[in-house]
Order: sequence, then structure tokens, then C-alpha cells
Amino acid sequence: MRMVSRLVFAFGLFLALAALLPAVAAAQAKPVTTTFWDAEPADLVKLRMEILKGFEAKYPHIKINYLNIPYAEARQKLVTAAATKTLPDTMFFQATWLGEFAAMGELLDLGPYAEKWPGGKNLLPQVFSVGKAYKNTLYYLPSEFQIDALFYRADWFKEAGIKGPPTTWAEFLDAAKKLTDPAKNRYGFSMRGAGGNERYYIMWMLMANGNVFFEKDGSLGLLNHGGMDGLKWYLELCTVHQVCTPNSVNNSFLENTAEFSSGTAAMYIHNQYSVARQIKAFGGTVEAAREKFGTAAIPRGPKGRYIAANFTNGYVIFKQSAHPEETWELVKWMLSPENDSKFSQTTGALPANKSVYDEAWFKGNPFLAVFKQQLDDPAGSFNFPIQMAKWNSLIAGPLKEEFQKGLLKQQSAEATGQAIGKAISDALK
Amino acid sequence: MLAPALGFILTFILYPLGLNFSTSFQHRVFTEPMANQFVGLANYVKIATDPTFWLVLRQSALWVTGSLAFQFLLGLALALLLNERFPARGLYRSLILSPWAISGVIIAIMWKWMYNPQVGVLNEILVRLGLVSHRLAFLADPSTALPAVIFTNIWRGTPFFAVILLAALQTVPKELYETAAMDGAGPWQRFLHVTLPSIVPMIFAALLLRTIWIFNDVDLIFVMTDGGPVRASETLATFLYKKASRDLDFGMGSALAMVMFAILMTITALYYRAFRRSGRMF
Amino acid sequence: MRKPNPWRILTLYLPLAGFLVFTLFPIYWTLATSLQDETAVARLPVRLIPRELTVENYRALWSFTRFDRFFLNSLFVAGGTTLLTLGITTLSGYALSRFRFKGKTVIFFSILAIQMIPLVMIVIPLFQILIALGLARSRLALVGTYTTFMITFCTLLMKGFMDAIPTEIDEMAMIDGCSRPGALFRIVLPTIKPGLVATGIFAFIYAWNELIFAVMFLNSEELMTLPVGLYSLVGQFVIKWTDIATGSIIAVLPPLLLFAYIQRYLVQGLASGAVKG
Repeated sequence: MRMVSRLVFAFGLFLALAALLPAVAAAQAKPVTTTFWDAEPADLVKLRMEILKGFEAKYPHIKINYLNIPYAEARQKLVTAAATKTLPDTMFFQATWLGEFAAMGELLDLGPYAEKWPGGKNLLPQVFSVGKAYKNTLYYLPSEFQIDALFYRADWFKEAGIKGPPTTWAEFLDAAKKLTDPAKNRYGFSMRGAGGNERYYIMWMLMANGNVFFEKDGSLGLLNHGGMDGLKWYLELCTVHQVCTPNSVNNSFLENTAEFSSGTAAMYIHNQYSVARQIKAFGGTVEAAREKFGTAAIPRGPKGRYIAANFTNGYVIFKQSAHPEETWELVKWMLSPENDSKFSQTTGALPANKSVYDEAWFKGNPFLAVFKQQLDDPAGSFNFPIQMAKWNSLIAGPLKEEFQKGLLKQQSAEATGQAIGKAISDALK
Repeated sequence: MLAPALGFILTFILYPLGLNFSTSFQHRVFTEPMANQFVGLANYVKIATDPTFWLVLRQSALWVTGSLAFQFLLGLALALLLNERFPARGLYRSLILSPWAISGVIIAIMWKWMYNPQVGVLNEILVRLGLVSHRLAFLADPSTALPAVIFTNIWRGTPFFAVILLAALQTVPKELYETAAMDGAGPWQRFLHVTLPSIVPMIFAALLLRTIWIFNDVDLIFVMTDGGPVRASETLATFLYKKASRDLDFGMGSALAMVMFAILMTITALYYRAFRRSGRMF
Repeated sequence: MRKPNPWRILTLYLPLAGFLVFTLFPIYWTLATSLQDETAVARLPVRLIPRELTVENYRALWSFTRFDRFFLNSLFVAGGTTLLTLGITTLSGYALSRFRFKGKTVIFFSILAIQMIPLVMIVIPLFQILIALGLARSRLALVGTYTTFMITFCTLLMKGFMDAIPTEIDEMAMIDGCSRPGALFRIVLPTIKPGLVATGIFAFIYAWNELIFAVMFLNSEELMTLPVGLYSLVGQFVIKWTDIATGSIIAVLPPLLLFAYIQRYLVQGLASGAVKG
């Protein structure tokens, strides 16, 4: 009797295992599809797809459903997807969207994943400081940095006998004035007056007030400690000294770049993406271009500092994702040093991995050094308050428009500053 | 016979319309998911008391009438021309459709580039012809921003009217002209008493729909000026888009949509009245 | 060839030339941009006639992006929309033109209603409907949506064209033993060929160029349409003017070629002869 019951027991166990085993095997081998969106321009899609193929080769059971969206519609598509519950698993995401989507509750906390990841140690510390902006939780992993610097026409400076790139505000104004000649259709500075203008005027204000965006009590400190004077100085470049190109108030970075490369403006501010473009415009090779233009640190303000603002793109995983584990593998793959390097070399973005900066191609490009230098300087760098849920709406709305009013002299610099301060303070409530 | 059309419409319209209507009475901001609540007429009150609303309403009126009037008149002139015989007429007609055949955002990008004071071709031509002393920043100057975009809209919409009116002109039976000529009517009288009355229904359709489309259009303005500088080229449609898409305030967006709906219904009713007198409408 | 009289030159050829310049100059400019190298474009002085020409941009765009795929998808969607729209609106236009029944005004206003709400407020609810119908993220979703938006305009247009044909013609045909649909298809439609041309080309162009619904409703590269592909040439930090110009020229060709083919029906007098016997 006991023998039979033991046999039955053993047989039952065997049956149970036989039933489970295929399920276990299947669960490991079951193909999982993860959806990845990005908004890169069409010529980068090829690179992206290569890198994705590399991932699929390494992880045969994970298929990637890739979609490329026009950048101008990307955010709107995300909003629509969030509302209709059709968000992807992960996306190459813009930092200024962080506050909104985190407030909507759509983002997954990546902290637990990142802690277990040895590769994380190779990332710049700024990755985590920016990534944790929202409620000190890692909702976002920046993978590329865009730092702004000054682009200047080295040949015009030489011709006019002005020494090298300007290093202070005073030198900047002086050079701009000397290089402005409306009769020859030449102006000292191409100001960014349209989309994204807040990046540079906030930078100017922070240079003047010692990098105080928020006071210790959380209220807005941007206008205090001399911040307002910084704004005034910057606005007066156009309104008083008239060294700005006439289209400045409608200029986005595209027009700034074009005005510089077409020989209308002596200087402009932009991030390292412009480097490749200007090299091409001024001769096609680094050697030829060096004769014509250079990059330099943003001129120092009255407190003796420059401030470079961190603008980033990176990865998020959406809470709606059905396969966070596999998606995390994909994110890690994107952030790995080899792929990070590939992206940087092609896009011109500053990579997130420390090791990539030591590679020959980076060290060998003289234009890029200044960007890295600014990124590394903690006292000289600033992170935009992307954790504010209304930040994206602010920069597209009042922050842009009030500055334009100031540029058009529809209101004084003081009124502009007050309006900007009020808009941000109201959004903080 | 009407069933398929109605089927499509009812499926696709009742829900969106109803949703917008009900959302307009709520506070619904995507970034404040916990704060959804019924607020009655609060959104509408905010709209009525917002001076920006009245500004953009005025600018919308300018935008529509400015674009429409010229598109229609130029389109009519062009249609009359294309109705004549001349060499290579087929080729000419095909080419003349091009502005309408290009995607709106692409047109906006093209024209924004052409309007640029430094590297744009329009300024180049004006300067070379000696018509201006210094380069004009069309899109950067608040007083010329909206007119400049309207001009682009006119360029884009003229072929629309040209083709429709041309087709309309074709369907007037020749006998009517012959009869009128036999009765002693000259070309202008034939135009007034034969042509115009026959094509009135097509004019009605084209004008009404084009009015609605222009009123709701955002692509040209957004890409060229983003409603700027400082709202100089902002219309009701772009204002709504910013509230809904940028601020993610769908309560306000819905309320504005209902206001625009009401305005368009009124305009439609006015058109209907005006055309009913001059032709068989229904 | 005999010399055209001066009056004709003044009232016909001169205005034609004027319209040609007005309409085509920007197109010429785009074409010129597409045929130059990138560095030549954003350079001063602005050259009205380009110096060096190259077709490299066309070769590059067609091969390294998925333009060929997008092109085919757009053909499918635009073709489908045009056929469906013509099919539906011929019937509805005829009904509104010929039949008297109560509620015409109500129907008129209700088919207009869909046009009156700005796109941004419709996208989400429409998407929800499509998901419920199981059509979301497919090209059919686009065909359905585009047709819906064209129905109003095309119905009114068709109705307008049909109104110009006296109802006596239908009645005579039916007395001769023709059925009502027969009267529509065999008598009225052939007479309003210009109307079909206009309606068809506008439906095609709308579907060919529509951007917003295509971006929002499609979630896979395989199904993407041309306008979306074109717009993705505008990036966050870079924009290649030559690529956009090249893509625009490629994109504008099919509607123009289609119209070149069908515009032969835009001929006076098709309506005549219908009244007789």
C-alpha cells in the first residue's frame, strides 16, 4: 500500500513537473515585443535602426517595434498616446517634458533598476542629478547633453583687429559693436528671440546673480541679487546698442545658425550640434574651418562666472509598459559606451559615459573641448527646473512672449523681468 | 442613398462633439489628474473676461476675410482665364494647381525661408529691384507678420477656387449662353445672368467650406510665426491649440472649441441665408 | 501661326503670365534648392539662378530614408480615400439635389458639424473610437477618417454640380424605363465629369498631404505616409533645407501628374446636348 501511494505521489510530481517545465522554458523563450519611439531626424534613423538590430541580435527573444516621429509633433503624439493608453514602452525623451509626464503619473521609477546596474558607474554624475529632478526619483536617464557655447567669426575678429574671442560681457559688447555694419548687412550678434529664447536669457540672469534660480526657501530667486540687471544688459544688446540682426525676434536656432554661416552675424550662441554644420559651411574640414570661426566659453558675467545650462535628451520607461524588464535591457543597451559613442560621433551630442570623452575622435576635435569644459564645471552649470509640471508650457508661452515684448520695446526691461518672474512664481503654486 | 454618408458622420462625430461639449464644463488639466471636477460655466467666464480672447477673435476675423477675399477673387479670375483656349493649356492647368498640392507645413517652411531678411529670396528681389532701402523682416515685425502669413495663405488657396470655379463654369450648358445671346445679351450680361446663377451652388460650397477650414487652420501660422511675435499673428485656432496642447488644459480647450463651433454655425447660417435668395439651395 | 490680337494679349496672355510667375516662383525656388548642394544654399549672396546643379539629393533621399515605402502607403491611402469619397458623395450629392424631404437642413448642418471643431480637440476622441472599432494604427483608419472629413465638402460640391443639370433629364430617362440609380449613373454622372474631376482631385490631395491624423494614428514605420516622412526631416536641432526641398518636389509630383491626366475633362459643353431628346 505504501509503495503504491509513493509511486502515485512520485508520478503526480513527475506530471506536475512535466506540465511546468514547458511553461518555464516557454516563459524564458517567449518572444516579447517592446515598443520604442524616437523623434530623431530622418538621417539618424539609419543609425538608430542599426543599433536596435544589434540589440535584437544579442537578445533574440526580444523584438523591437520601432517608430520614428517628426520632432515637431512628438510631444503631441505622446499626449494623445497617454490619453488613449497607447504609450510605447520606452522613448527617446526630451528633458523639458519630464515635469508634465511625471505629474501625469505616466513614468516608471527607474531607481531600482539603476541601482543594480554596474554600467551606471560609468555615467557622468550629471546624469543622475538631472534624472532625479522630479521628486528626487529617477524617472529619467539623460543620455546626451547639449551645452551651449559662443560661436564667433575668428576671421572677422582678425580683420577688425580685435583680440580673440571675448571673455567678459564688456569685451563681448565691444566686439559686437565694432563688428556691426548695417550697410554691409553685418551684425555683431544673432540673438535667439523665438523658440528657446529663455535658455540664453536665463543664463545671462544667472551669470549676473551668481547662479541663484531658486532661493533656499523655494521661491524664485532669478530676479534677485542682480538677476534683473543681467536681463536688462542682455535685452539692451538689441534695444539700445542695436548689435542684433533685424530678424532676431523671430529667430530660432535655425535662423541663428544660418545667419552665422551666411556671413550676416559675427557671433551667436548655440550647442555643439552647430559645430558640424559650421565646419561644413566654412570649408568642410576642421583645418579650413578653424581659419574662419571658433568656439569659446560663454563670456563671463559681473560675478566672474559663466553659466552653461544643461539641456538633455534621454530615456524613460512608461508605467503602461507591459514588459519593463526587457525594456530596461534596451535602455541599458542604448546607454552602453559603444553605442553612446556611436551616437555622439554622428549626432554631435555630448555623451553620458565618462569613458567616451577619452576616445580619440573627441580629443581630436578642437571645437568640442570648450563644451566639455563647461559641462564639467559644477559651479558654472545650471539645470533647468524640468521638474515643474508647467515648465514646458511656460517656456512655450509667457517666458517666450514676455521676452519678445521686451525685444520689440513694447515694454521695458524691468516690466519684462517682472512678467517673467510672475509667470514662473505662479506656476510654482 | 444618404445612408453611407450619414453612417460615417454619425459614428465619427457624435462622440467627439459630445465629449467636447461635456468637457467644456469641467476643469480638466492633464498634468493635474487629481483635480478633475465639474466647474459649470467657469471656463466660459474665463474666456469672456480674457482680453487675449477678444484680441485673437479680431485677428481671426482678419485672417479669414483677408485670406478668403483674395483667394476667391484671384481664383475666379484665374478660372475665367483657364476656361479660354490657349496653347499648352493642359500643362498650364496642371502646374497652376501646385500650391494646393503641397502639404501645409512644407509651404510654411518654404515661405518662412523666403521671407527671411538675411538669406531670403524675397528681400533679395526687392532690394535688387530697388523697391526697398533696407531688408524687411516680414515675420519679425508685429505689423507685417499677420499680413505676410495671409499672403502665403492666398498663394496657397487660389488654385482651390480656380479649379472648382473652372469646373463649375464647365457645367453651364452651352444652350443657355446661346439663348441669352439670341436674346441680345452681351458678354457681361451673360456672365451676370447665365454664368453666375448657374454656378452659385458650387460657389456656396467652396466658400463655406473654405471659410471653415481657414478659420480652423493652424499649420501655416504655427510654423511661420508661432502666433508671434507676441501674438501679432495669433488666431482663435492657434490660441485654442496652445491651451489644449501646450498647457494641456482640455477643459479650456473644449470650451474654446464650443465657442468656435458656435461662431462657425452662425457664419454658416448667414451664408445659407445669403445664398438661398440667389439660388436653389435645398 | 497667326499673330494673336493685342486685346487678347492684354486680357489673356498677360494675366496668365502674371499668375504663372506668382504661382510658380516659390516652386521654382524649392526646385532650385533641391538641385543644389547643401552648403550652397544658406550662403550669401542669394543667387536667383543656381550655379552648380546636382541630382545627388534625390538619389540620397530616395535611398537612405524609407521614402519609397512612405510613397506607396500614401498612394494606398489617398487612392482609397478618393474612391470611397467619390462613391459615397455621388450618392449623397444626388440625394440632396434631387429629393425633397424633411430635415434636409438638419442633415446639412450636421454633416458640417464635424468640420467645425479644431483638429486638436478631435484627435483623442477619434482615436478612442478607432481603437474601439479595432481599426486603430492602420491605414484603413486614415482612409475612414479622411473620407469622413471630405464627405461634407464633396457632397455639397457634387450636389452643386448636379443642381446645374435640370431634373427634367432624370425624369425623361426614367420615363424611358431607366431606374433612379440608372438615371444617376448613366445620365447625370457623365454630364458632370468636370465635377467629378474637381471632387476627385481635392479628395486625393487632402488625403495625400494630411499630416496630423497620420502622425497620431499610425504607430509603425511600415505603414507611415509621405507627409509624415517629409516632416521628420525637421529635427530638434538640425534641418536640411535641401532634403526638405527635394522631398517636397517628389511629394508634389503624383497629385500634379494625376491632375494633368484628368484635367482634360474640364471642358465646356459636356452639359450641353443633355437637354435635347
